[in-house]
Amino acid sequence: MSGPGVMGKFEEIMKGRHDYARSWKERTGGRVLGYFCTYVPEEIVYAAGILPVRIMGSHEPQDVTEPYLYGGFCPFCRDCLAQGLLGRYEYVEGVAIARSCVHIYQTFDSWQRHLPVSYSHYLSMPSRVTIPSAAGYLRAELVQFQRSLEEWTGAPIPDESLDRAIDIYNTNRRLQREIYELRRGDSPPISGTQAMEMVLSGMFMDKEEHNGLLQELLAQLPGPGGNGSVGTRIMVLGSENDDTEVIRLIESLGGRVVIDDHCSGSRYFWGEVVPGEDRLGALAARYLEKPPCPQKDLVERHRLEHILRLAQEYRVEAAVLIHEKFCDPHEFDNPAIESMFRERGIPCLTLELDTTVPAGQFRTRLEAFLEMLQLEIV
Amino acid sequence: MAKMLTDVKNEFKTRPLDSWSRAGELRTQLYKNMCEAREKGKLLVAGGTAIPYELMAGLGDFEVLAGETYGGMVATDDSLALECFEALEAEGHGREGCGYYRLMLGSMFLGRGPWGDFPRPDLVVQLNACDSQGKSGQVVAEHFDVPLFCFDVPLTTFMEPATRDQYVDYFASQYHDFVDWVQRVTGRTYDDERLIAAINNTTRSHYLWARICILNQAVPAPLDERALFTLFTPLLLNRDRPEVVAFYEGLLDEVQDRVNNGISALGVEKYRLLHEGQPPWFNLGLFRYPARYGAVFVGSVYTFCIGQSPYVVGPEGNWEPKKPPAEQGITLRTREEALRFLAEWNTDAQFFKRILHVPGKLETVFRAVREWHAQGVVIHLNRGCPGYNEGNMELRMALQKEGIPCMTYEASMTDRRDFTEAPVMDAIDTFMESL
Ligand code: SF4
Ligand code: SF4
Repeated sequence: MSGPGVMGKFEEIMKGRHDYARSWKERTGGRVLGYFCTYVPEEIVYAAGILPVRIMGSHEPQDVTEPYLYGGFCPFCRDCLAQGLLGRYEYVEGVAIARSCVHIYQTFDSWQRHLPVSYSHYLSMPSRVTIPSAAGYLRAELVQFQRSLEEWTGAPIPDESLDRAIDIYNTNRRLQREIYELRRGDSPPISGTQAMEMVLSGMFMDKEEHNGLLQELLAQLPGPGGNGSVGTRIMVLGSENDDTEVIRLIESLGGRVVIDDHCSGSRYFWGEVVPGEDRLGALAARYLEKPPCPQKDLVERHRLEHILRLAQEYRVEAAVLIHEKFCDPHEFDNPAIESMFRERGIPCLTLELDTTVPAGQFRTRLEAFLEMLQLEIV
Repeated sequence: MAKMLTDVKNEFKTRPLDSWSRAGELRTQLYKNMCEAREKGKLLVAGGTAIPYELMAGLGDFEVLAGETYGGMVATDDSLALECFEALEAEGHGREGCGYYRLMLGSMFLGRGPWGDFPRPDLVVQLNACDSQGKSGQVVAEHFDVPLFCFDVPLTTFMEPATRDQYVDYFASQYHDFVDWVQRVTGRTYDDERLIAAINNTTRSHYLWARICILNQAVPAPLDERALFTLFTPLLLNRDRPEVVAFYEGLLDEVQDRVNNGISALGVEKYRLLHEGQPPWFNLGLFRYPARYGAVFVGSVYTFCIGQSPYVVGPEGNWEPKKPPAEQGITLRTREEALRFLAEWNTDAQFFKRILHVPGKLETVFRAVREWHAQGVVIHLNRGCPGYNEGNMELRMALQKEGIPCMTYEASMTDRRDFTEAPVMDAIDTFMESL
């Protein structure tokens, strides 16, 4: 593996996300906005001079959310709220969400009710992203979002700032995509764990700085032939999963994670904004067209097409479906995904994850799965 | 402190509801219509109770197989329910999704249900308010390889006028898309007059239901929640039909008569309670249990707002039923007008913003406590409904803060495996004793 310095930096920022945000604030005097779903158009936030950071959990057991959130909601959304209640995001002054699943909406709602924020915004993102009227509807929502941010900061967001933000975010997506593409080769130059750290760190950083690190990494990495280690080529996919320990475990047992379909992975940066005179229209189009999560894929099964394309392009040999406990949107998709893989001879394993329980819970099942795969491949 | 009334004396007059048997007959007839739809040459549409199925009326005769009512029926038969859950789980599905839809899908995979073979739909129409509705529609459409349409339902409670217009436009444009789509996939022509008649009936059914629920504000309450659960079924199954309108006209008259004559639901009414959430359908007896303390469940936001039952805030600040077109002096003449009216109705009345959107839920429950004169709220933490739990813990906290007694119990609306009777009853005992 090349570029340990940059990779180390990604890991450091991912682990020290709160320190990063605090020092960003100190450095710039700017505000920080926490968001709960990757359908929030960060570009508008960034254009307002605000640092958007994704609210995520800590993967530790917690006992503080019970009065606020029903225990049958997914552990990820409870873990996220716990971080707020425990004061770990005290630097976040505002929160926003785009409509996705009911679980995470509740996290947003409780956050803005009980934590000291001076701004909160609910963006009514369409669920039927492919219908003709969705574009106009979402554009109107973005107008309101922009206006609310302007009211919050007391300053208008000029077009040039939006253009610059769109450009920085597009660059970020392009660079991450380029690095992902290198993993198609026989010996991917970065591991799945490192890829996840790269994407996650970008969710907490100023994207311009993240772009600098990505460029540095690209310059250091060998081409698609790679010089990384090999193993069974695995795709990970499913509910929100930012627990790098799960990926590390798969890779420590002989798997090589070459691609993912997670909102904490490829789905976050896949698909660029096609710039146009109508900036909010262009943004609306990108968020409607990006690879959908299950909650945005209610008729056509574009998600399955996308997953299959990735599996083929990245020459996936097996898949691990990571399913956050109580997550109903993904639960409905999983049988269709499993049967799609089965029909194509791609073995898959489904793991029910409680993100607050250490990843070691899966060791035995993963070991058995990977051993079985290695035997099959031999 | 509430004492168990060992020798319960009726404080109020009570008598059975005359409309009860008519409700049963009508329900049986409507389910039978659904099962026989295809052999009678009608279209069968599978979906949910909240889809705007009035839009189907323009095509001619149709019936609806709605996951919520279908699942609720299956849930009342323990062994069938278990078979359905197992059939679904054998297909690789977990226990996370909607309990109603899990039973409907399980019955579909099993190939049979409460009335024989699982009926094969001609098309699937769903909407997406909670996360299970749209996703389950996909599974049904793929199983039968039939066309699928899904409406998008934005969830926002309090809107600026501009936002409301945006929502109305969004609904209306989807309704137009649907009418085009459904003609294309069925090859049938569309009759706007039938559409208009269906919208008139639907809105009237909802209006009547809202008036009946408002009558339940009377002390003593003429109906209890257990009765409301049964009486709302025709509204969910076929609110666009004249016979359903006629049923609610008759029920309204009877309930008014009960109010006029002080006829109560149960004969006792020391305490009035609200319930939040769907019932465990396999144990409706739960709703009469507090009667031993002289308490009566007078309703829930769930029953008051079910379907698209509309309320507007009247001059006194209280809810009043929103009027259907005829009562507003509006004559719907064209498809455009009809779809616009329906879009406005569904924007304002939307059930889901009262249960799936926390600000809407809190506002509505507090209003219901005030206007239905409730002294306590019992909240069902429903393992079978990822949607309705939205905001339930916030609700509990908000009620406690205002000094309104409340309790929660954990169960499921459809899955007996998630229900243990003794602790639930114990919790109710403790709650009643604390009142
Ligand atoms: S993991 Fe599933 S339930 Fe949890 S927030 Fe994500 S989509 Fe929602
Ligand atoms: S809101 Fe609950 S009961 Fe209704 S369809 Fe969704 S999950 Fe099922």
